[in-house]
Amino acid sequence: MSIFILEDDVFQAQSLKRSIEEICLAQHIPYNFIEATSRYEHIINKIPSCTYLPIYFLDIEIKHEERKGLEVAQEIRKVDPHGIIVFVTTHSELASISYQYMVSALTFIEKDQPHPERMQKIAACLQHYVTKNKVEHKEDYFFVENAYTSVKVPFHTIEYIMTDDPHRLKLITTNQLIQLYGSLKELEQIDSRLIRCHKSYLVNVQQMKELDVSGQQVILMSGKQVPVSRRMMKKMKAILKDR
Amino acid sequence: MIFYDIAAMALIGIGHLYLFSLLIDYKKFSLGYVLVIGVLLTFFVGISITLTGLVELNVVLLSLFLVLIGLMNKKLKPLTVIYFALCSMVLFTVIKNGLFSLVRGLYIESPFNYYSWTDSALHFWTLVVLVLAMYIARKKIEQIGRYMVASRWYIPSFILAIVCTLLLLVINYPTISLLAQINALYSKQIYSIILLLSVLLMLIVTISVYMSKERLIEEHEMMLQSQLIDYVNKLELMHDDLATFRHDYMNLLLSLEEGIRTKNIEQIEQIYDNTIAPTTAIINDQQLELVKLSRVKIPEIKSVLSVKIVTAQHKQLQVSVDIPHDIRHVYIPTNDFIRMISILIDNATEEASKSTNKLIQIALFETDPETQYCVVKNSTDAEALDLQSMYNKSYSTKGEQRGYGLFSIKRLLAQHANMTLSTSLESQMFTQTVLLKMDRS
Repeated sequence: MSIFILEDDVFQAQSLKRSIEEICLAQHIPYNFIEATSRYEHIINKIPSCTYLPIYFLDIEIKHEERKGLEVAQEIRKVDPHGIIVFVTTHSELASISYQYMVSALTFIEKDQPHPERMQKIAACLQHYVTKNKVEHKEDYFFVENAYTSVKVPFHTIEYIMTDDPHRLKLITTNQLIQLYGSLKELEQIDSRLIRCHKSYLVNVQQMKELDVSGQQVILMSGKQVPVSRRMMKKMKAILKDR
Repeated sequence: MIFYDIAAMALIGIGHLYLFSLLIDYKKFSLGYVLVIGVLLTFFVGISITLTGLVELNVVLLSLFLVLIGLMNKKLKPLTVIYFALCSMVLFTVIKNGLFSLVRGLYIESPFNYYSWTDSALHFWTLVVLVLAMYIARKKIEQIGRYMVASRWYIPSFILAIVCTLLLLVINYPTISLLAQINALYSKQIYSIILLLSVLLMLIVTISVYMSKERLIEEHEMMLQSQLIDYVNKLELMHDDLATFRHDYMNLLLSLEEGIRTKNIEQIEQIYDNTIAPTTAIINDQQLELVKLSRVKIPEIKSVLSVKIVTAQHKQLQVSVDIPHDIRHVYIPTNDFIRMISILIDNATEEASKSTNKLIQIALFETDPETQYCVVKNSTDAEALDLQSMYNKSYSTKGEQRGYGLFSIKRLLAQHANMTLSTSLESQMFTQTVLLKMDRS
């Protein structure tokens, strides 16, 4: 386990390092090293030698450059797309949604939070880190990338896709509704696990639970229903059986 | 001849239905649907009239039918449906009859031969022209429909439409004795009255469309102006606050210096606790969220955002704004962007003020030069929402006559291919993410 801290204030860096050490000791989390530095080049240079997925605690404001931390995060992402990035920041900069999108940051730790809450938050980050390192599975994403849109969702959450207004689609996942421009034909070709069960529906094989033959529909894990055209009934039966 | 008559009858039905569906702006009807139902309607009416011998059924059945179809569209109020049904019926009938008489008159004057089938043929071709004209002007007619309901001429024109319908009943060779008598006595007069009234109706419609258009533009300009004034006021207020703070700050430094010079640690502590520590409140002040809007370089968007943020803050919400880079352009027309973001923030404000956490987050940024994100998050106490049906015209968690917000966002989506909207609810935060891709075309 490799832990990096980027912080230009020596006291704060040491304090954060101590907190992490305490937590690791208390929760029996083993680690290779904790590297606290104020120079980001150190971090970038050291990434290739890490045996495990690293976790980074980055101060956003380094040497009075307001968004230095973000730039560093983007640099890190170039070398390490999967490592966990946690921003450490003062209160006013909190809730930066944009950071989460730009470098897929895990979360934020506020510097001016009371000590116990801070410790809790750091512990949560480390816990997340441990679980992520244990389950070494590649995230399976569904991408739609064209001139009109960029959609990225974990594939297993997709329930179904249906047509909407002319040339618009609705992509329904377990907790999201995405309304995008495109055609079923186009999305169908992206992933073979999406089955055209009806003229205007694509369904995710992984989310199907059972076939309601008389109702001409397929029932999903969540209980939602997707219509199946008569022509496709046979094929759907076969697919469900093979699975 | 029989072909012409049947086709003309079918066209009449289609024409009525088409005008009506345009007026109520019912997109669900495809053209083919209108054709089929129009033909069915005609034969249904025709059969019931021949069976019962009651010619009145013509008008009655037609209006009933239109109203029923309108009511299938649950987003409309019944009164509006009746209004449009009557309006479309009267207007179509009168225009058709007027046009037909005109064409027939002209034909008789012309050197062409007049055969027994000429009337039927003329009737048919007039109808074809009329329906085609409606198809060509469909956008305009839809617009008229939208404006009429909001117009202040709504009620007078409603009354006019009712009167015209009643007169139509009388003039149509009725079989009920009372109506037949009136018809026998006054049919000529009534005919001219109907013509006059419907011309009046058309006049009212056109004038009111024109007027409500002006009014809408005026309102829009007024709104922009008042928003700008709000923004300037808020900025001035903030400037005053900062000036006071700077003044206090100088005094603070002086007293601190005194404490340090005399090495009086107690005094320094006291100054820190009483005077310096509270200033964090000023630095983290909600008002400073507004300052972040300086990165928005499009004045209209900036002013709308500032007003929305101030409104949310007035409702005791904690608003955080995240605009990391300068925003110099948005990838859909500014007007549409403003409409979209206003609806999103209004909804978020309303929902957040009912929630326990009272939080709103607004973010506007680009992840690469071609992709813009606009994220609006709000806290909510809701556990689950029917995300799918949220975008229907009538769906609203806020009671009657609301729901139009998300519906009009959906309309914007239909207009802009480069716009993607994702909606989610997770750990009591409701998130709307709009993705705009640069339009390379």
